[in-house]
Amino acid sequence: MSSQAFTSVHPNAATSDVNVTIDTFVAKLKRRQVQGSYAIALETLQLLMRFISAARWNHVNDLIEQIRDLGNSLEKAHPTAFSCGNVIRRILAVLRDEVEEDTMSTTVTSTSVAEPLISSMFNLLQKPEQPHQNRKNSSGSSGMKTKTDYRQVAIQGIKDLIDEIKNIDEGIQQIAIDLIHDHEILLTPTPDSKTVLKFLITARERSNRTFTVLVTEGFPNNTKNAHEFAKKLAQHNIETLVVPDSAVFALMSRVGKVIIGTKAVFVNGGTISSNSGVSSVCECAREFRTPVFAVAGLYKLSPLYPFDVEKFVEFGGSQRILPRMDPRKRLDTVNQITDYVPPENIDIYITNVGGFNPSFIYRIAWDNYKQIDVHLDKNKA
Amino acid sequence: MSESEAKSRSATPPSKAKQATPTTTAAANGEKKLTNKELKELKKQEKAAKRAAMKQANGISIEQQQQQAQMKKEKKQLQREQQQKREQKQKNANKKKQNERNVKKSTLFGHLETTEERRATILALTSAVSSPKTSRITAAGLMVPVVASALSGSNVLTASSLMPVGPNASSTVSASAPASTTTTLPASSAALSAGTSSASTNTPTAIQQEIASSNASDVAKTLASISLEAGEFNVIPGISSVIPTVLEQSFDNSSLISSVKELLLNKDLIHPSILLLTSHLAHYKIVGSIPRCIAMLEVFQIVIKDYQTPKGTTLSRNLTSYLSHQIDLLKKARPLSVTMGNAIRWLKQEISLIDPSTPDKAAKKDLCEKIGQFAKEKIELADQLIIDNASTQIEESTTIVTYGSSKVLTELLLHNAISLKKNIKVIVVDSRPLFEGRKMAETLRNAGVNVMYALITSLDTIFNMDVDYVFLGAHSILSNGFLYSRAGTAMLAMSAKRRNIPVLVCCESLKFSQRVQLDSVTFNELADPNDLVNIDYENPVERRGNKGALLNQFIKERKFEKKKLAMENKPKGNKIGGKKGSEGESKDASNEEDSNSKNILDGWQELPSLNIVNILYDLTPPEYIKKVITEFGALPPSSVPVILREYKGSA
Repeated sequence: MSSQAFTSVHPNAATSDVNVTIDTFVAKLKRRQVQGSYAIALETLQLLMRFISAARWNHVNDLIEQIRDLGNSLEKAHPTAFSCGNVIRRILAVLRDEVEEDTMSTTVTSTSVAEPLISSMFNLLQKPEQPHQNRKNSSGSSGMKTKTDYRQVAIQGIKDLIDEIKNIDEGIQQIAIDLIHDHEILLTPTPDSKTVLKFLITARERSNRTFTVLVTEGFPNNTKNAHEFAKKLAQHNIETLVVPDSAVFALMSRVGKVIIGTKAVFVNGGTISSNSGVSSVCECAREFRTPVFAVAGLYKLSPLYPFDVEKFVEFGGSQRILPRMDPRKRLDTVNQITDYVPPENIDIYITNVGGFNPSFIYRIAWDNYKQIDVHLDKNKA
Repeated sequence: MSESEAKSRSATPPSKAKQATPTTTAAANGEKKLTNKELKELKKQEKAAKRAAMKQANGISIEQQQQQAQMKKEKKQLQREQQQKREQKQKNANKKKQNERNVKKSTLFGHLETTEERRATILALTSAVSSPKTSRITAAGLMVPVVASALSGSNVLTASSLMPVGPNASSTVSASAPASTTTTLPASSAALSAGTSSASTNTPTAIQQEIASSNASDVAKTLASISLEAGEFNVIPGISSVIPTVLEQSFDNSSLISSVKELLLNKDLIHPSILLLTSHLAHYKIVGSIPRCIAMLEVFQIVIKDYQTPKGTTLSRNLTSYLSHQIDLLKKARPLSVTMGNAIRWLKQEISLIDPSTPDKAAKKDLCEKIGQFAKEKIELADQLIIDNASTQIEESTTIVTYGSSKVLTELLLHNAISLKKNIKVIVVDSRPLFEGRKMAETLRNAGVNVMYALITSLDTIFNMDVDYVFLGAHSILSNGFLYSRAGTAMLAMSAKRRNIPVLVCCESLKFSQRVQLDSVTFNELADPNDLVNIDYENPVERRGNKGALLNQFIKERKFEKKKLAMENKPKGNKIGGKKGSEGESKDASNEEDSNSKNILDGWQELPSLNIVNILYDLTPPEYIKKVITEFGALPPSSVPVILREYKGSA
């Protein structure tokens, strides 16, 4: 299949309709009109659902290929909207699991003993028993499967994932509340994170803990969010302090814990936060030995590895930093929009499936993704 | 029982018992021609009499009965008084609570003086110091001084109709004047007209009409209200009328009041140029420890020139205390910078060294010269030496990161880029709310230096750009080697240290301080939290322009008062003038709200659990600093106390 499979080829009315929605979504992503990884993930899933219901394929690999193409085009539209690619990879993993299961069942019928995965060092050196034959058998037999089955599987997977994403905060809150004590001073440099906001409010109201929250402003891109965040917290009777970004070091000695929201979590345990200045805050925290915990839904885990951090960090225009510049006397400026926090500056990740060390994140990632789908772009894979 | 009764009988004065008896008899006599009320009373008395008879039958005498009644009465009275007291207490407590809520102290920095307190003090002082003959504008309206003096003491006179009354509205003046509680005293009309004509386009005839229309009762009313107002906040007499209501609330702190009172006692001693400097400092028109110090020394030269030794003392003895009064006021603008403190210490020593026999004129001239020399030696020449020394650090084509704005650093970088023609790249890091770095970046850029400007949130990117050195300015270096500088410096130094980029501090030895401090929370300076409410790219000085926070506050309160007046006037059925005015005002108000509502945190004072921290300085630990470049050479931060000790004589 060519990469334009879903854009132009099919004359079918339903597919063309889907193509229009895809195009508009791609345009929206390109214009950065969808804000926040939560919204992006949900919209991507809705789109994927429509895409799969309208898609036609001969073999399940065909379907997987089409989904990969879709994911690739979406990722190209907004390379740093990681949640978009993450959910597509999750669905791909669901499909591939299903395929594997089918092949397994066929192999079970063909060979009497189900071969376990290599679990021991001794097996490592053993000669694998007729693997080629099995593979061939399986691929041949899986071709006999009906297609509707996979459509159902994919759509059910999407529905489950939407459910999971919508209920993520509950799971995180239960774990995270146990991490703060009464009268603690917390600092959050990511006031745009809904998860952090909800967590703090439930900690105050449901567990009835009193604590102080310092909110950094994140000037220039995030100050509005920060102020709104602070106001909301104060309205929920949480002692809140708005702090300029420059005062973080001065106050860090009094802070008990730093909470950060995340935009994407990479397999090495590093994270991209949707707010500049977070990495300096975490560095400060490290310097003062203040624990930093990051809250992240499972859908924010990305199977990518940040070899080149600059590729993942976004930069904005200068108008927010030097609004009125004399055109004859120009200055260079930097306006970092997102920020990369290396794993050594984060103590723990709280996800909806539990708390993990940054060094363990890779394992959670491979529970949910398949290695083969890391790069959706064919040229790289 | 009989014993106790006998005791109580002897205790009560006999006159009371006598008083009680005639009333009962009188009531018994004039029974028939009475109203309902009195009838009821009579019935009560009858019942009481019956009871008395019963009691008498039981063996209790009339006198005893009366005494018991008296006791009961007293008891009730006591109870009532107690209740009142309790209510009063509760009221007071409520008031206190409100005050506590209004005076916001952030959780971490409750021990530091807030800008609002400082502002209230300065305002109180300036209002008391500035001549009583100038007219002042208060939230209640324009204060005309001559009238005020005529009123002797209760010194407020409102002329609030000055704004609504236009030149062609003279016909409606008579209608609107009483409504807006305008009162003018017939006396001193000349002064009044002078004041009003300068304030608005009002014609003298309109004023006369006003005067004619305002009758005596109105005058009495306003006077009554004025005295009431004065009674409400007579914390410090003489300043009550000038302080906006918000600022009053900060006056519930007794130590603050006493300090203001103390300053007020010496208000006559304060030199006007000191007042001017105080206001400049308070509004951040002069910032940076060196510029502040220079400005102070210049003003001191003027003060010393104008100084006259009072009879009976000598210059060397009296001038020090005279200067202390000036310094007390300066302290109220912002806490003194370390440079200012060091300069003052030096100056006081110089004064004490003056031979009492030298004539005043020569001594004053000598002092002024010495001050000039001090500034030159300690600041200008020191800077020159620092620049020479630091220039050896800067090689061809290096990238240098600086933070905020520093006078020495600007000169150093200009010297290297322009005079020495080194091809350097400068990255100026800046932060909210003062945006001082912008000034430095512009200066460098205008001179043709390759400059990059970034905010502190982008630190990560900046340090990924092959930075060779970090150069920092200083507010002061403490005796334990900590660098006390603009908030954000520490973060920059820390980031640099973690990336193995050398951090160098350029600092005159004038900035060395004897103080030791361990973290930035214990001692710091709080700036105005309202500066952080606006989300824009201007620094607070630019944003305010010429109107300070006080003027804004005044405008707000004035609007509120006008609204209140309009509300009060409505039910009275004020036809033409009132309606027009209120409509216009409501429109204005809505517009104002629209333009104001863009700031999310506008009403932050009302949320009890919301606070804004705006600290000015932070402490950089010595381990982040590679070396400190002073006019004595480059040294590690641990050598600061050595320099202080070795060069104490000269510093």
